[in-house]
Amino acid sequence: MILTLHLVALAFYGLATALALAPFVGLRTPPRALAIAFPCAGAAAHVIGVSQLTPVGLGPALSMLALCLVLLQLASERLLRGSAVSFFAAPLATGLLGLAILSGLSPGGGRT
Amino acid sequence: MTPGRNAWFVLHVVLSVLGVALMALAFIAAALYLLQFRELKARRFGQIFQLFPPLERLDQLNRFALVAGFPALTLGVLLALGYGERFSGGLHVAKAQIVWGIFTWVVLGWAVWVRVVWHWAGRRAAFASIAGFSAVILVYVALKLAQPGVERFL
Repeated sequence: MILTLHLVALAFYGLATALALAPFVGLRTPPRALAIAFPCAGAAAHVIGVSQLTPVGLGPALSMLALCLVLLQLASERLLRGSAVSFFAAPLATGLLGLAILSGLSPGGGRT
Repeated sequence: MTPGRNAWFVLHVVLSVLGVALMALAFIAAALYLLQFRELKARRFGQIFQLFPPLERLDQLNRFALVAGFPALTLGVLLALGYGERFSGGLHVAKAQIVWGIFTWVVLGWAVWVRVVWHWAGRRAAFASIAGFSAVILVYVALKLAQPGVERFL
């Protein structure tokens, strides 16, 4: 269950990363609502996943760090215009969550 | 009681992670600032100029993230010391973890000090944030590579 929720969050963060980087590779700027909806949906799944974790070990710590980054990114998006912060924060959060899943989400380092 | 269920320990982890995340946000704001500054200086008004916020707001975000991150990290470290003393009869952590924790705290403290006390702003403050965060990550990776078996190290 925890792993599934993390994978769902990872998928949403991946989509958010693609949307954030789209204008810089010559694609059309995505709608702002969509650019906020994907990280929000990912964060919702991630919050449920993190709430079931035991906060001991590298994997859970990286997962919490990724969640904090996404929440700070969403807060910054409210204060700043456009998807500027997500340009860096979304790939970083996606990478951190990917690493967390790879290193294992249970205290011993195994997959839950 | 296992560490994962102890309120002190959970609060320590949450505050420490929040502190590091705020430091990462300061790094991001600093990077955006420098990119935007370069575009403006070169009088290029392309995608970066269109999508990035004004320099002043990025500078404010950088300052906020540093000033909020430092107390969070400090409280996280103090809670770890308190937890160790109260519940597990002293600190039982790897040397690498202590070195990285102190180094992170000193670097973040320095970045806050130059902003708040020396009133650094703009490019100089952005460079300080980037240098500080990069140093923390590099030292973390170096220590992690030196002691790959340390499971609870972040």
